[in-house]
Amino acid sequence: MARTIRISRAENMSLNERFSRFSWPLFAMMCLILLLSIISLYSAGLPTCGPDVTASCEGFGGWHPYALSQMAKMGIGFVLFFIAAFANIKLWLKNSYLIYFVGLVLVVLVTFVGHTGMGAQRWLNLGFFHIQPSEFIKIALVMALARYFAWENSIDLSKFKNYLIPVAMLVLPLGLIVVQPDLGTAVSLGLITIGFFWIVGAHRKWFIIAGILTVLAAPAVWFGGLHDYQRERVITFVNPDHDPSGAGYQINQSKIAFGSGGLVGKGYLAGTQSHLSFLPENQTDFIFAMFGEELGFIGGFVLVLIYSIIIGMLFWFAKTSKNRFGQLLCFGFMLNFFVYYFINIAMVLGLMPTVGVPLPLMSFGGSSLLSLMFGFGLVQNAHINKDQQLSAKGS
Amino acid sequence: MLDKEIAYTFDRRSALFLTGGAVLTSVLILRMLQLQVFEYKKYKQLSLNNSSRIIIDPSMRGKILSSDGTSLAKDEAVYRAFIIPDECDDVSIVLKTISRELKLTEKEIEKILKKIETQRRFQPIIVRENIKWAQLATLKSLNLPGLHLEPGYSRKYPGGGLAAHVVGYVGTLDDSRTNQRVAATSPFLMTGLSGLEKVFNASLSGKPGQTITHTDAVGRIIEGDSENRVIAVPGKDLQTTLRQNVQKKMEEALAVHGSGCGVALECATGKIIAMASAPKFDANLFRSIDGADYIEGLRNNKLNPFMNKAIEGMYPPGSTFKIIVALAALESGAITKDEKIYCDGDWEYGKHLYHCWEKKGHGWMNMESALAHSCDIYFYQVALRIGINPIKSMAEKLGLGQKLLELLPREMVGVVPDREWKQKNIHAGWMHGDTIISGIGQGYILSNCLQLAIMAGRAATNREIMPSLIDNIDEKQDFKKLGLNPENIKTVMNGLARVTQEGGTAAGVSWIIKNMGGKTGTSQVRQISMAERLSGVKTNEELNWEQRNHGLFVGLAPIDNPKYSVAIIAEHSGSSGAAALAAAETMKEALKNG
Repeated sequence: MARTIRISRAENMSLNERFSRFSWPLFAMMCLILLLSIISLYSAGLPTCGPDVTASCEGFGGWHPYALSQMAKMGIGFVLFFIAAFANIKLWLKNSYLIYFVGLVLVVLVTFVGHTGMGAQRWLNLGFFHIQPSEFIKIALVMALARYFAWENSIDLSKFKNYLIPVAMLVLPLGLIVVQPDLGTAVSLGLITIGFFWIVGAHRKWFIIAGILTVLAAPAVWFGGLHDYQRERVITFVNPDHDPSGAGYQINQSKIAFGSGGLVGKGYLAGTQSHLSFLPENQTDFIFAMFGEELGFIGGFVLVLIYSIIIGMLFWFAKTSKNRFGQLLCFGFMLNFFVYYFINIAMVLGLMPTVGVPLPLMSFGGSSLLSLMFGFGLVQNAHINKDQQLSAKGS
Repeated sequence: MLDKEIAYTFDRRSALFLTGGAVLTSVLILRMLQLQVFEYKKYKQLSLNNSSRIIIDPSMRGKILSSDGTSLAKDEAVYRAFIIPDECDDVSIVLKTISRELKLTEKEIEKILKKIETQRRFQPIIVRENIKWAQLATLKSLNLPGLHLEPGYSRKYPGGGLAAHVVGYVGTLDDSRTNQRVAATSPFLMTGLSGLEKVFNASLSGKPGQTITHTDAVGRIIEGDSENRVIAVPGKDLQTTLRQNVQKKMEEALAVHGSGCGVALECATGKIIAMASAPKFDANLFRSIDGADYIEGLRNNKLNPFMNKAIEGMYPPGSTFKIIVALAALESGAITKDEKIYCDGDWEYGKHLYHCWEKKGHGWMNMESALAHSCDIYFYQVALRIGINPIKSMAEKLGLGQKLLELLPREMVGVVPDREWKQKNIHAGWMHGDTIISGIGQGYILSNCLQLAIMAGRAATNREIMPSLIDNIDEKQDFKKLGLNPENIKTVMNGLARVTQEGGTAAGVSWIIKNMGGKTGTSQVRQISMAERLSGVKTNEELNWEQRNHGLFVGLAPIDNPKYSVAIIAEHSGSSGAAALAAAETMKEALKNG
């Protein structure tokens, strides 16, 4: 059965037309979070006192070492964003599997030759840049699944064998990522795939069977599959006072920093907990704790609101897309984005164990930022082409 | 278009996601409300006395020692009193209470209060660094919230900052910016910011320890958690090659003139026994209560007190370069030591008139007398005869145009020009005139003080000696032979010996030291135009200070069998007299015992 991709009219759309279909509101929301990210990273940064300073530096906040560096990465991110958004969508449809495959190779590489950080092997040294393939694979998986289910018409979802390929798409990177070990990414990938199965209309019985299997497998994972530090985190999560100076330290400090912000916060650059080193990693995974400490409930609420608006827009894109690939791309990215930000904030607020997931577009770090900006470009592209007949059918 | 059934499935099933998403988002917002609004007081209190405060125990920093074992930098164990404004009920009352015990003046209290305003309330501010035992007991008994008394170390630079530019200084910020977060919040953690303190920071600083403590509601420490204690590891001492007495003498001699630099080293080993730059700074004062003003003053000083001019300053070597030209010429065979050249004060070549510094001329000059009198006409002609290439290769052989020490930051390479260099950097062809003025160390040639001291040392030993600042007893260096003809070296040494004798250009120094030979030099800071020369060249006294010539002296002592070499540059001193005097004082001290 030869499979071809048929795209009508898509090629004929002029750049002007694409611009007119580009979603400026979504673009604005993305930029707004990037701006908040720079503001927060400036606060997490250090004061510059000249090269040869001898007196102690006063105050907090500085362009180094985070804000400036992240801005440079945003520059690259915008290039990726516009390429993803304005390239012919056919390019992405055609190369979805290839991109997924490259992502998978990177995950394989990082598992065997990667750098270790915080007890987990997550970094791949490209000489000039350290990348975290587990961030890229999240977007790549969304692309591959969207491509796979875009053939849905010829796929009989009641047949077990038709789930084998998408399950393999999940399990290949998942297995390696669990070994790394990166619990946060593993959970995200799992949730994205389950979400896909649900939305394409897989029968309920599969979910029930998978649920039962999970419950049965849980003890084996607990005793055989988890690293000591991960078990520690889960235990600590259930009882943070279990080890207040060790694993519980982060959760407690995060809650103290966040809670002490109050309704309006301690003021920008004035967060005591974050700046006094009580709060570790306040530029990456725990940036929301610092954000909440300095800008209070109001600041945090506004941020959650912006995230929710983005989720809403992504859902609307999916719903209004007249082709399956675009619909699933938007939907998958929405899932990914939601899982990302929900896990991170829940973790900071002590609702979930610390699993090492960055806050999307906010946290310091290039891999997550670049993947997400590329993803935003893809959904813009899908939105631009939402009225196109973009069918990829078996023939 | 999408299949109707697919669209239906999508709508139906996405409802679950929308509901789920809304519920989960509400959970987040409710949790935020719980933490920040309902339980705000609890967390605010917890944040105020964050129960697990990490106290950094600074490690004792290693000493920086001179070769005779005296300290150039050392840590002193002190008790220091600091206050954390956030924990005080009223800062001014706390200060007033302790002012009698610590003898704080009104002005100091005012300064501290002013400083508190400029920094965050939770940042500690040091009140006194050096607390006596009796004071400590009294202060402890006061039990004032917000007043902390902790043992620590204070970095001291004995002798008011001897060899300040080499030793460098410490500060509270890590330049590498890796530990800045810790550093910024712990003002007592010192890290090297310049000089050897910076280069050897890792081995000097050791490893700070830490104690996780529990604090009560007002931030006082209740108990140390011994399980989580990390013991501090003291740093290693650093043995330098500097000789304290020679260093001191050189600095004093340079201070007389006010601005310049000097290097003295042992010829056989290349060990630097003194390296000084004037004006200098006293890092002891940086952390005093007037420290900020002091530093500001130094920064605004146009004599660049923070610059280690001995390696960072680039100067035309002037007539000291004649040592190189002389050796290059003798080695090339283009001139013998006895051949005479006549100097009548001017020499015309091409359409250009070249002048000797001695307007009335030196008469007939051979190699030795030309060195002794620093005759420009002689060296113009010798340079022209051999060309720039042998001069360049001799200069490089003797250590110019390269980094020699490669230890301290910002060491300069300098310039030894030739045809290609000029084409590349000035975009002009090499002229005979360029060769001619190179003969007296002018033109494009640039060197630093260390290179000149090495140049003299290499010429004297006929070996490719390299300078060192750190004394590695196990490491015995055997320097490569230069392979110069010993006869030629002898000729040059005889010339250098005559420089400090009756009739030589530095005859005056014989009042201080008898057996030092050397070479004087002045290097032009500005170009003298023909019109100006005709209308009468301004004497150096008439010029603005910055336009006056630099005075240089390169010396060897004892000249009959050189043990030490020295190079001094007195900035804008007009003539070489000040440099020669400083060199003489330094050499006399170096030869005193050893």
